[in-house]
Amino acid sequence: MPAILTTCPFCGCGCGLYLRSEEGRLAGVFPSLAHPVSQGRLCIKGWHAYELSMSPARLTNPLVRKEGELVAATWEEALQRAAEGLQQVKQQHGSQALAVLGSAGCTNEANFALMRLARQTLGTNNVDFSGRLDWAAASGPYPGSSIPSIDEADLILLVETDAGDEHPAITARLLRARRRGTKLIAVTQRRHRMARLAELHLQPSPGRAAEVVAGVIAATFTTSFFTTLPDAIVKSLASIFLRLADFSPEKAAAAAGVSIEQIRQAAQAFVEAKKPVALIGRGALRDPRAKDLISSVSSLFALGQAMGQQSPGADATGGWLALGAKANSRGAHEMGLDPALLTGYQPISEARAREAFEAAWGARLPHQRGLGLWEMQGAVRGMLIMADDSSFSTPDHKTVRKILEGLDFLVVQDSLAGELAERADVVLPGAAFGEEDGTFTSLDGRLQRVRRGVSPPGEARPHWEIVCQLAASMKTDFGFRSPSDVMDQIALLTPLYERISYPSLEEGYGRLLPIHFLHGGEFSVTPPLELKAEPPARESALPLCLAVDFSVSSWEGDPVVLSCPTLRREFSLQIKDFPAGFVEVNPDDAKRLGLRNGSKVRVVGREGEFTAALRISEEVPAGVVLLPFWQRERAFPVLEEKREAADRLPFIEPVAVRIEGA
Amino acid sequence: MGLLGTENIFLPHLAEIVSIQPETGDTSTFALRMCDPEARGRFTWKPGQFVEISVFGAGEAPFGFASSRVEGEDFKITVRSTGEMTRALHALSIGDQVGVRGPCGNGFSLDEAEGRDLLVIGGGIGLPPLRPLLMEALAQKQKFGKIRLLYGARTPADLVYKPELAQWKTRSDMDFLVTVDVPDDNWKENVGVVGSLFQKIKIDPQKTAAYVCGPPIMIRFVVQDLVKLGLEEEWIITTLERHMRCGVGKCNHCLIGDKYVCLDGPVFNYRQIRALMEPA
Amino acid sequence: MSEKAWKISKPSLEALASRLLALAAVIAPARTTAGEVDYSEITEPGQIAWDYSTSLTSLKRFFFPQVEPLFEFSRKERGVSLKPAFDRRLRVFLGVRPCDVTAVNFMDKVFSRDYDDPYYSARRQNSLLIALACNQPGENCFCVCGEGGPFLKSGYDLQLTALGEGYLVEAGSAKGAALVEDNSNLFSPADEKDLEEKRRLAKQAENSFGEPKSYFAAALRKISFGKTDDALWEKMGEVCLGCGGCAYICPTCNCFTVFDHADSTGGVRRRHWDSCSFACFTREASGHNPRKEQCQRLKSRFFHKLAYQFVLRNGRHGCVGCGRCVSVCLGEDPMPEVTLRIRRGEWAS
Repeated sequence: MPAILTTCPFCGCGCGLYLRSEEGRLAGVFPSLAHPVSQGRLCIKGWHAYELSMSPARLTNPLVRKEGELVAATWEEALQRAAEGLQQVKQQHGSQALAVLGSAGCTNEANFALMRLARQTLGTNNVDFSGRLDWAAASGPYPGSSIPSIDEADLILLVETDAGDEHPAITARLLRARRRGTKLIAVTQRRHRMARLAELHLQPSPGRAAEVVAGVIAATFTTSFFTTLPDAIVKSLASIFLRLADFSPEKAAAAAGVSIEQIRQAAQAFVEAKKPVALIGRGALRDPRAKDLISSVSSLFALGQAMGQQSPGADATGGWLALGAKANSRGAHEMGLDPALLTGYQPISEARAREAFEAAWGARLPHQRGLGLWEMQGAVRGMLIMADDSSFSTPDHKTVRKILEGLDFLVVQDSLAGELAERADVVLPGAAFGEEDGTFTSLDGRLQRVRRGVSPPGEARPHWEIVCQLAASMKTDFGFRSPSDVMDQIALLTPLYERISYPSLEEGYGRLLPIHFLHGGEFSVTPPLELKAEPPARESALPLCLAVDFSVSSWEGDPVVLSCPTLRREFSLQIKDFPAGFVEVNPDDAKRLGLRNGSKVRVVGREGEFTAALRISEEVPAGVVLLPFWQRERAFPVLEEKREAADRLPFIEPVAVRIEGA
Repeated sequence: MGLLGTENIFLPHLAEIVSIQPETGDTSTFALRMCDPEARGRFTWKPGQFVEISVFGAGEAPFGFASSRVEGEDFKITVRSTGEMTRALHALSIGDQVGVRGPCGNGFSLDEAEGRDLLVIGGGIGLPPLRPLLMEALAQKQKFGKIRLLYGARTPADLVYKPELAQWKTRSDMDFLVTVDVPDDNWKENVGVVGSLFQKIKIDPQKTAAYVCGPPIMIRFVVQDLVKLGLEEEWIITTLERHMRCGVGKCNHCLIGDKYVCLDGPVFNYRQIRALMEPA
Repeated sequence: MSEKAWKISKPSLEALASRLLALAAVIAPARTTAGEVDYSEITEPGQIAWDYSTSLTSLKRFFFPQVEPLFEFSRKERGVSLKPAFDRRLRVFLGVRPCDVTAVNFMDKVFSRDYDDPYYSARRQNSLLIALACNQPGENCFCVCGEGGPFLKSGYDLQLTALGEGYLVEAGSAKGAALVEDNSNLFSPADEKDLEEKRRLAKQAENSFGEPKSYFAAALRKISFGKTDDALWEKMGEVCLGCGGCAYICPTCNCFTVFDHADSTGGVRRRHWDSCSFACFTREASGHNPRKEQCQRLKSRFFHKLAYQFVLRNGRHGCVGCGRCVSVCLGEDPMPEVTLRIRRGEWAS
């Protein structure tokens, strides 16, 4: 069988790779050279994508719980049981007691069909996916750049980006840009590889990156370049001036713990740039102050645009890029896996959008905002979960567990067995990578085909198909005969995806979605910006600041990655080396505390404490204790989850702690 | 030397577990017998060589032979339970089948030491690969001078081959000194690291061949001691360890510089170790 | 070296391809669904992309696949039964590049020295290699440095050289000569002019590489005797992202690991490509890892590729100059750059 071109299923970069198959099995992988993102390269995960189908934990048979035990069943039985169970909850407790979770690892078609099942078939807006946390802060109107546009930039601002673990294809680009003379300015709490290689590294205190960027804006006002700008332009920046009226580079330096000199250097570099690009990493998107941080970056770019820098436009050069974590983090959100949004960020409350869906589906849809995943506890009694990846994204797993404990009925659809499937009343075996046709939307809005090279094993079926069959079992026939049909409907109902069809995706390497603006065609800077004047609070008894770190080892322990034997070996290294977990501190802090590398310590906060091994690293700023995000579960006696008022999404706040030998 | 007559170096022979002897809390000695009688007769190995054992489904791992061919057709391995494969092995019972590929590696060349005093020094789980060396030396003791065994472990419970150690104590054809770092109430022998036993013996450095096995730290210190005592570098002989996958010099996991531990080793003398292009 | 030489016209070469398709699997450079060229099994001669530069991947996977079952095992009471599987299909590799043929010869040595690898041998023994010499080197190529081309002196069954309207055909083995004899009506004898033309093209190709891209002799000397600063390896390690692409794309890299895949009744043992650039490649069960840092792994990888100690072991150094690592490297450490830095003793880009 000839090799098929498909899209990598791991991170959000969307590299093009070829999948080989032999005798019905995946036999290998190699990169596409002409692909605009991969350009002939893959990371260690991409190179082992063929192993995804080989996991010993593959679910290959539908299962139904009978007398407390999960037993093999036919598809007919399982679908019927699933339909009955969900409908029973609906009858007893109403649609609002049902919820559906999709996945950042599933195709757009599977997620869209799932969203339709939730809204049309089950009548609920309780639709979400745990990966929404890795994208939500970026969704909405933003200028959006593209990965290839990194090559055109003369200045790249790295805002809490990773060191090369999370988005290797982008790191490859950055290294090449640097060689060509592009200026890299890193604003990262950790002095990781990219920060070290950058020309300028500003290392803000935890949660103060927004202040750094705002400080840079304020500092541009005093550059000679700025003072020679025409009045008309200066007037157009009134809104930014207002917002930063009380803010100064000095205040920024004090609040963020960086030097004024560095802020001024960054400002000078920015005004000299003609085509700046900013990359907003996962650390920024998951920051409790993500909204302020993104607002400050967009303000900076609005300023730049007014100063004559290349504005983001159809050619997608310039502007900023949010680095969505997983292959379909962005697509999943754009398929309407959101309690308040339909596809393409169209609010469910907006009559025009909702009516188009109602017309297409022939059904009335609930128009009140539903419950997001983090609001479901105690309110949901029946759930359908597709390819859950909450262990990758969710801050506190206990929240998810509590939701599950309160369920009367649970249907789990997945390719891999796991904790969730063990609790389910019905298990529906789904396809893994290479076994299902569909599309992914990469972090820069590249809509690409994912292609099927082999059949799913045993009785497993493509996810989109399972969802449609489940809907049909509940008397709603979606009329989709193929993933292409699903995409046709997506295109029909989603302005952002208009005119997309499978034939249009056959040629070339997918389609870049247009940059979208919610408020006319203007680049606007409407989100409010709240700046802090002080560094994060510390106390004499709790002199250090514990913060989660997203920038290294992002994939450690991820179940999908671990389902590949070679990747399992590589991505459980730290778990094996530090079975009791670890936290990282700066050498000076360790010295002051009299603690050695590897020693067991107690991390004590206001609310509780936890133990871990101590690792000393020069990458950690002084006064800070870094905890890799993949370990956050064990730190919850100390960590605090903060809920955003508007959409109740949980963020992890930096907290004051002390460290003592255990 | 070579793999037992199979045309496929990756295809194991099958062997049956004939006995399982616990040695310490996490270590047991497995005696194995080739299932095929013809293979049983042909299978032979040298001390210092190793064998790749498979628990099908859990994986395959290398283990040094812990018995000598002079003791019979059945062969022994002493295994500590540390990872997935060794845990699976420990969960097996007498009569269960495992896969065997071997013998692999170069082994000790005892013949070359003819005429010399033999000083065998083991630490903890390092004794098993030395045991067949000792057995063969004792079986041909007329070829050698004085035969001495120095053996140490962290605590008395960590000593392996406890019944046999008691027996060795009584033999007239070898000197046997044992030591532990941390004694218990019943311990009557030496206390201290293995190196501390050197002051209890008198060796002729020019006439001695030393064989050392144990944890890397222990080997390092003992080798230093031996050098200080005046032994020649090519007569300080030890085994090196590396992660292995194939055992036949193809997968490249066990390379140290340009040397394959599975082909050029695992036995190396100190002169060879110093010449390695990568730290051992 | 060619004992005999013939000429074949383009249509006759296509006819030969048709005949071969009836007898064996034919692997040739062909366009992927996205229009890129890679060696793949063709079903008709028209699929062959004769005018290609380089193929995306090498011939490695045909003899040493990215994942390969070694044997199946199935449980029976207390016992186990094992069933190995070999691929002995007849295969003709038509129009493949000299660097890739050189690499196959290298792999022949690696997989047969010390112990013979029967899986490799099974795939290799029923294969015929018909090389297509490079009149025009590709953008990243440096086979002259790697002694891998652009024209081969030996190691092939047949070597084709494009001469205007047709091809010169040289036999490098009895198998190759026999193939010509069995299809003699498609070939005509080559004359001295044709051989002259081939020599001219070869010279032209060799001279068209420009500045030396790789400094093997210098690098080989320095690396064989450990004369490269650790500080330089540290700097190179900083810009290595540990993707393993260099090892996977390289026609001569052959590291692998072995995994058992169990199911309810038994399972299969497979070997998978592996790379010494991965963090856990040398990690022992105890947790000890002699190559904990990326710079250590990088250093050992290039030592294995270039050092004289391995030349002795494998018959030649481990780079044929195909240039694929230049496009596959996520970081900044492909072969030409690394050898340049080793030669200079300092960072260069």
